[in-house]
Amino acid sequence: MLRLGGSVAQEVKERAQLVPSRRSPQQRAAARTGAWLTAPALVLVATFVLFPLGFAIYISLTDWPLVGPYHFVGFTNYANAFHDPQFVHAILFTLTYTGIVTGPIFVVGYGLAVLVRSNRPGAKFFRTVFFLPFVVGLTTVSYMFSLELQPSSGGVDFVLSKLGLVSASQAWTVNYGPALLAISVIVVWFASGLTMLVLMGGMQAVPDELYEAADADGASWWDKERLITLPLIRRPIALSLIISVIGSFLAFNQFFILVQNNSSLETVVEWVYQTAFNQYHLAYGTTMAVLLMVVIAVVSAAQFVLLRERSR
Amino acid sequence: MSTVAAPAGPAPAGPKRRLPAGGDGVPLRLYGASRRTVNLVTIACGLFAVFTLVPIWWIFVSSTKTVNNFNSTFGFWFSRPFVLWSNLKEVFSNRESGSFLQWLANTAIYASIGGVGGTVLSAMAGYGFARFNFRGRNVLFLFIMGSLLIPIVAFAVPLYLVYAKFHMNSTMPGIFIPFMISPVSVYLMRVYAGGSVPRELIDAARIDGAGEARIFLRIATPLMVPALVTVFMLNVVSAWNNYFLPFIVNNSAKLYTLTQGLQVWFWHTNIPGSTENFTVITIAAGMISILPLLTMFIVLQRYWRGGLLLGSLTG
Repeated sequence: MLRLGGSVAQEVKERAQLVPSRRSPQQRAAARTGAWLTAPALVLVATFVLFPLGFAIYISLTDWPLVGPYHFVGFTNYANAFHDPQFVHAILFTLTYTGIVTGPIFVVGYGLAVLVRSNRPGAKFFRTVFFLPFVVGLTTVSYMFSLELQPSSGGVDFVLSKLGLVSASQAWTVNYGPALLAISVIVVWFASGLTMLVLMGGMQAVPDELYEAADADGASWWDKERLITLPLIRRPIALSLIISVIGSFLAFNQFFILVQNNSSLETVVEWVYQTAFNQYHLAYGTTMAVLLMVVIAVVSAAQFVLLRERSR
Repeated sequence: MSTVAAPAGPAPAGPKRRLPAGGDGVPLRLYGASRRTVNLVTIACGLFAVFTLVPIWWIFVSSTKTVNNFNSTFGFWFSRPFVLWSNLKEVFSNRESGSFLQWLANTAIYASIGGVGGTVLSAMAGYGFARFNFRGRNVLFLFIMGSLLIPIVAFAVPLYLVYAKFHMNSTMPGIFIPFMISPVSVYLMRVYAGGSVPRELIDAARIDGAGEARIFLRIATPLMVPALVTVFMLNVVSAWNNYFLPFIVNNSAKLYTLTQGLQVWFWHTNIPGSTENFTVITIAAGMISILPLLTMFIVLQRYWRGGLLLGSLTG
């Protein structure tokens, strides 16, 4: 809908050139250059992602041990995974966690995008500040927060106990509720800036004329947001949700660092890591990872399709 | 736009075709709000900025304290004695549990090779996909995009086994080569090259007898600078902060990344009754390890076009 005339024409032209008619020497030379330019990236993806992935699927159908020969076991690993209470628990916990953080990340990110999308003085400064947590990164910050959250000596307990909200010795990273709350706040802190960036880009691409027309009709701020902005940024919304949901499904660092050895707070990736690299059940761990990948692909595709269909 | 023909023509500054005019290409979008609304928006921004900056501030303040003061004084303000320098000296001194300087140097090497390599590869691929027609172009592009959905954990075990076969576990290339793979960068470069490198310009250069390599380096690359900087920063940040991959493929203390090294010290802080108190030193180390990223982001942010790049996804 937003495609302007020029880019559609350009695209038609590009498509037309793709038709494999008799090619001139120049076209063949261009094709060769294109292939050379894209080859290094393709080779790396093939060697370090797709080949290991194919290998992973193969391993998941065997009883691959650390040393010695292996045997085909068909879908036994898959059948076992679904009857493994610890794995099912990890899946449910990961889904719970995703359900908890996705909404706040999106709402905060959307709010920030609204705040900084304009060109007024200071907006650029705030854009930079809001994106800083993403630059700082989740790993280092998880170590730091872990020290900050320590009972008695950490900064968080100090402030919250002065405000009378918790006792000064609240142990954040031991029990289910407080740990999940603390990690969710950290993740919202970390990830909102990226959502903001994606949504802001979409908002800035909405033509000004639409808002001017709505102003002439006396539309309220909320009407404009609901009737103009939201429908026109469905794809950035889909993209930001896919990024944050994939990120949550793959949560590892923050849990691994902040709450080790607490099986009620174990995510799928942590469980895969424990199974494959601590207990050396290589095939079984790989099976669970392949299942996780399938879930991610399906959820991403569903989000994209759902948000796309309605915009037609 | 189609009139651009001179090889040295003015550079169109990015995929602007969908952006209406306005200052920086960014339209003013407060809908003629009242003074009061503007103030409220500014206050909301300020409050969230405090929430964003407070943890970073805490890291800086805590790294200037003694262990006793860290445990007993207000966490968000300085206290006497101010011992930043001696803490830093502690951080950089060699100790049994590993050399921070080594980890910092390793991470800098991995992140620069990963960042530069990833940027070069995705610039080539993005330009190739955007401006050349070749058989299987769309399939191959989907091939790269598809890998976006494949988390590293899905192929961690086979990667480890393949590495073992080729003796790549606990080697530098084994750590930095995967950092050069970035499907998002290829996607962004394709979108950006498609919007900012006019076909007419390439054709004109060919007629003038320029070779393809020269066209790429001298004409296309300068036009893609904002996207190159953005992609470089994304790659450096993700390599610098990567935790899972080094964790799987590297167990040589000499090749540790910062994230791995911090973990060693972090575990020391959790040992009750350990002879040395690592808490403040670990925080000072964390401060040093985020400093290069913060500096890079603030220095390069005037070239940063993250929003504009991602905005081109609309429509």
